[in-house]
Amino acid sequence: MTTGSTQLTDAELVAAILKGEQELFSDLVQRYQGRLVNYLYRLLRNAPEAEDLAQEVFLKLYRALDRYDPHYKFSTWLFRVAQNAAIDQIRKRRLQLVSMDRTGDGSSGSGTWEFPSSDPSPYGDLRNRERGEAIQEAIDGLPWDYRELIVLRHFGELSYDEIAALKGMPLGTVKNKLFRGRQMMKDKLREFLAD
Amino acid sequence: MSTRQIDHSTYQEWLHSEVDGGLTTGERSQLRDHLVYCEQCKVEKEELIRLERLLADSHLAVRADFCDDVMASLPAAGWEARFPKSWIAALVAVVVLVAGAAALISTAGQGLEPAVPLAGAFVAILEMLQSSALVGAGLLTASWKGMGLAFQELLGGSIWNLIAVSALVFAVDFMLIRMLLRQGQKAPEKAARSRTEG
Repeated sequence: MTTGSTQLTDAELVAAILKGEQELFSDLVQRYQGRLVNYLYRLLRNAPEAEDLAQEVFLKLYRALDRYDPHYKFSTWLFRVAQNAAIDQIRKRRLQLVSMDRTGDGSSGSGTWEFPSSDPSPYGDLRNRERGEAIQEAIDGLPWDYRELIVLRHFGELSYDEIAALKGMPLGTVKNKLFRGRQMMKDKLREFLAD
Repeated sequence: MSTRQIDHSTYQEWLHSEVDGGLTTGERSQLRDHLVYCEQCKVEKEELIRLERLLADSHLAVRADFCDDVMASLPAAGWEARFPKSWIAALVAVVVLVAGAAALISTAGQGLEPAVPLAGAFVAILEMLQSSALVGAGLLTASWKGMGLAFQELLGGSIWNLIAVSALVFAVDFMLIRMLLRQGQKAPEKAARSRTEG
């Protein structure tokens, strides 16, 4: 019965899971895990935290699977839940920082980005690390609404239509904000774009 | 295809849309024509492609056992009870048993009397099930009546008996609700702990 599940649409997979084929949920997880973890990572700036939160998001979705409305895209629902979870996490983190002595930023340090390196030399490693940090800084430097859209588009890999549905924005606004966001990113990453 | 005059900033927006595959065929064709003579847009397009590649290359690889971890910590969802596999298995078992019994009755009858037709065997089984259901219902009624009498005896004796039983029922309900809530909260914590220990 599970044969050919990779060809099923998201809505068909959900329907099959609800009919008792719970193991098919792994297909949905595999389909979205990379995009979800990368999306959360770019918002939270901490890889283990992003993976933990991605897992929680999948569990939350599984629990509420019978409330999924197939008239909407599964990806839109998934990223809406993820977005709310990320905002809650950032809020919690701020509260923890406020309650702690303000001696350091708990969000940096462990779990920071390491750019995948194809160059094994020390110079290559350094360059890759610099590049990874520059990307994160460029994203962090964007105003929140641009940042959200850039992360949804480039790391969540959502289409313009999906982003418009998720954010409840007209398509033109999404295009315009992405255009401006990318221009800002280009300016900040100019050094790496010349390579 | 539209032949209207398009300003430079529109072409620049189109470059972004093109990278995302969001242009119509007509727009793409107009943009291609524009790129033939506009150096600024050519540079812009090249930068956009590089930016796209730079961001794509920076994607984090998810650890190999992520999916297994998610599947291992799936909670019991409310909707699962609506389609439990055990019901299907039980239903299949009943159908097989009924079919087997019907076949046996039908073949056993062949040696004694004129063969019992298969339909007759099914009717016999249905009548047997009907009788069993009637007996079961009778027993259930009798036991409920017995329980009712016992409660009447217990509660009707004194107002304190009634209060004590009510308090007991409330306490048990309260404990059950608390246990269920605590289980619900513990599930994600447990999953995280088992992952870090693993």
